[in-house]
Amino acid sequence: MLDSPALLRARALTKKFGDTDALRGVDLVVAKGELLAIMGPSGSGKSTLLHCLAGILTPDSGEVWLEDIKLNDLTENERTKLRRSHYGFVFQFGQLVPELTAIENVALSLLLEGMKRDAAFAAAEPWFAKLGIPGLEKRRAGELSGGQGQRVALARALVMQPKVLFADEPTGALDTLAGEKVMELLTQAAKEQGTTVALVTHDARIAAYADREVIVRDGVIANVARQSHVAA
Amino acid sequence: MLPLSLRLAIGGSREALSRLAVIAMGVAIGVAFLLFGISGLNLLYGSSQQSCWQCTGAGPQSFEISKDSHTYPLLWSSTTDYYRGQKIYRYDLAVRDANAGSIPGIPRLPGPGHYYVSPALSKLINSAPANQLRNRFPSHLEGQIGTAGLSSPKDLIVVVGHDPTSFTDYPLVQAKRHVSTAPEHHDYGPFVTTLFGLGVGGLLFAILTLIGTSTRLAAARRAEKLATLRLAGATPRQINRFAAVDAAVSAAVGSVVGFGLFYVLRTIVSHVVSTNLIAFFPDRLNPGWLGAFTVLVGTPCLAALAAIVSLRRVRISPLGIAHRTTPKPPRAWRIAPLAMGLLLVTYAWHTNRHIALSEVRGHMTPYFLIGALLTIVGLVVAGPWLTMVVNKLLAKRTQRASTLLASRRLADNPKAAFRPISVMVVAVFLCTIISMTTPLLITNSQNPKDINNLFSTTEYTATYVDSHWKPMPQTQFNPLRADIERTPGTRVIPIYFTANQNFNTSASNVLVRCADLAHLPTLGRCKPGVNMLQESVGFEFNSIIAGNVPPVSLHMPPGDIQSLVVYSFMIRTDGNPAHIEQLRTSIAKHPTELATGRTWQEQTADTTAAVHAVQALIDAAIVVVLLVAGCSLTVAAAGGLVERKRPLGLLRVSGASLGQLRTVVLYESAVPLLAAAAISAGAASLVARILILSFADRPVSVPPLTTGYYLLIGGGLAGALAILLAILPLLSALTRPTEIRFE
Repeated sequence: MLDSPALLRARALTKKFGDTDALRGVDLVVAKGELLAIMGPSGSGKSTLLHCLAGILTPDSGEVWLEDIKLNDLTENERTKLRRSHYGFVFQFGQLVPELTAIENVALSLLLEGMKRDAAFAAAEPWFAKLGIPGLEKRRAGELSGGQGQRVALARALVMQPKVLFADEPTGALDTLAGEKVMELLTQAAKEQGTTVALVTHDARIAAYADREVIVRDGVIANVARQSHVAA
Repeated sequence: MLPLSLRLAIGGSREALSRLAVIAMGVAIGVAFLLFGISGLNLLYGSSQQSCWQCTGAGPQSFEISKDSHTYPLLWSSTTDYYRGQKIYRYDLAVRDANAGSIPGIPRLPGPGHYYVSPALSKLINSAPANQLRNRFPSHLEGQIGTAGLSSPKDLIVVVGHDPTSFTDYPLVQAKRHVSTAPEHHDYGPFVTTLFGLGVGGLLFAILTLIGTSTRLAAARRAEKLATLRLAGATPRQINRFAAVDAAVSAAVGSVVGFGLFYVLRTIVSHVVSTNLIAFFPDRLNPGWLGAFTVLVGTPCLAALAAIVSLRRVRISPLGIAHRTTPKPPRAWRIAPLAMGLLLVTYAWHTNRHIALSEVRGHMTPYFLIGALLTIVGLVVAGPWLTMVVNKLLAKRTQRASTLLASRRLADNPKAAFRPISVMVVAVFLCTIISMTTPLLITNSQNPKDINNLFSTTEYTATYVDSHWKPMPQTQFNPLRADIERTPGTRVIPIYFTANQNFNTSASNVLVRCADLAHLPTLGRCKPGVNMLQESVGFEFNSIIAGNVPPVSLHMPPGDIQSLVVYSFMIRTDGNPAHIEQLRTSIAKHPTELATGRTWQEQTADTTAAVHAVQALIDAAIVVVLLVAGCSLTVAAAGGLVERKRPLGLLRVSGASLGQLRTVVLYESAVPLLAAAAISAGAASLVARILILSFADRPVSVPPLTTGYYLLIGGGLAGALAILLAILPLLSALTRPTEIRFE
């Protein structure tokens, strides 16, 4: 990601929950196409940072930019639309709608965007082969293993071809082997699409897939490993 | 153990408290409905233990003897009077000795020439001209009847005292041991009782479904907590106790709140019901001690039991929860009863179609009844299967994400989706059938000869019937006649019996003078050269409109006419309401005449009152059922939201708008409600149409459903939907993107 233009920028972010400072003046730039790992111990503020970058949380102060869009200035509705059209999300668990089949879960994002049913299902189908789960299209969420479910969730996030994929402990509920498989697929698919990835993890082996690692401690970025060169 | 269970039930997280609040609210609404139901039954069946002094003249406690007996301390007569269409209940009595008892609400029984009135009648008397109402009563007003002696503030009641010596000559007088003190016991007959039973059963099912749905709210989330307790070392028995206490605490809180709701809303409900159905004092709407105790204790107990039973369906281990069995999808056989019902009704109609109108069509009645019953049951049985099939089809075809989400959920557990609305299906079915057939019944009983207009305001009859069948000699009748005819625009038409006739046989003939008949040609016309017209039935409204037997003209010597006795009489009036009340007052103050008469409209109103009362009861029941269905759906939807908090919240994080999620929730609850109501009304409309066309004794066109019906169903559904809208703020709060981090 050397010399890539900046896609996401955060400046002087602060966020408090009650009396607890979750973020205390964080500055961060994520380059286009970069895979960034945000690491840190529990309660360090890494998930809060991810949520602020994604527009899920509004920082108490500071700014978040996606290219030339300042997220702070957007209403909740505008942020919802932005998340739908520009972002994808993968969480640790529980993101699949249990009543829907796997392919319906993947096509759901496209249907929510207003795409016609046939087109949405046609767009969703190739992802099953791409993510190594062919033949599982008709299975319900409850009939999938943890790894399979995460791959379906990944497909749902990537099928929209988002600019940024936010992943919050995407392998946290998986065993090592399944976690590594998911990460391989995630990095590969993101690279193919040119999707930027912001990944929160506390697992060094998962973070190793990233182009760059930032370590958050006590609400500030304490360390940056494998510094990339980003044109700010 | 119990303190820990209580601590876990009420001292948990914010989510646990929210869940407790939602469960308690659902249970509270159910309990309030239940209390209103029990109180309503108490009111209808007179289980309130209030003594029924008005029952002195009737009922199982009465001991009737010859009125001229001197061994009983009380002489009693109950009659019905009217003033401009309003019914006045008049009780005339004479006290022979101090053992006659007392009437609640008045200090002592009135003496000769004294009377007591209810406050509403007192107001009416004061507002009406004396010659139209006041003069019907004696000169000395003793006072007003207190609340203890009345059923409602609208009661028009008068209690008149008489001299026991002269009172024995009055018609309709009975000798009694004392004023009745037994509570009123209503017997509505097997048909109405069965109807009540079905209604109460249905309502109870709907309310228990609401309470059950409420207590099982977010059961999956609760099960997760129980799994954590298993991990901490709790035994399955302890888990059962935790679950039971958890459910019982929520239900107990809900029961207490429900009692509060009941007592807060009682006055409003009493006012609404009194306006439209049966008038009563608000405090008479009372569940009674036994009812209140049963609800207060029974609800938490049932909730605890339901929680333990529901735990049998899941296996809670330290590793988490697992369902023992996946609910089986409903099978296609469920459509069979509905199809059979509709087929039976259609077969009976097809057979009846080939039978002439004049022939007896009764032999097809069992087919109709069984067919209609199968159709109702079939709708309830087929509901889950239809829900599943329709939603599976929708899920396969829909272009919209919200429809896909909702239809998949409905298709996934159609039994749970249909349960809250199953009773509503029956209620809408019955309401539609009755709304379509009732107007025809009322029209049938009114107007086969198109004489309604003539009799509506211009004719008036006073029937002279008592239990001892005492016709009046003309010499006694003439002063009364003269008194009545002093009222402008009136003409009395006496109806006679021959003096030696056996008046108690149904084949009795009655006679009218042709000269009198000329003033009321509707009754019939004499042939030239005769002076009397004879009919084989009494000259009463129902007999006249039946008109099955043609009258016979005959000539009678004047001497024979003079010997005739007066059986009853009719009065032609000019239709002026003031004149009608004047002549009624003239009859009432006549010393030997206590029997009162009715105008055609009053007669019609009395005849159709029962039909209207049943209709009004069903109207009230359907509104309650629709509202309960709305509450059940809301509670079920709230439960579904809490259980799907994470996936729905993550969908919102991923860009699903709140509007799209609202559509999902409303589709899941409102569409089944509206679709079931429409299907039920459609099926009922078809069955009612077939019934009417098959059983009418003359060519009829099926009357269209009235605006009132549409307002009732539409209003009830709108109320249910309005309740459903209460879920939307919860959806917004539960799926707020910032909330997802706490999951």
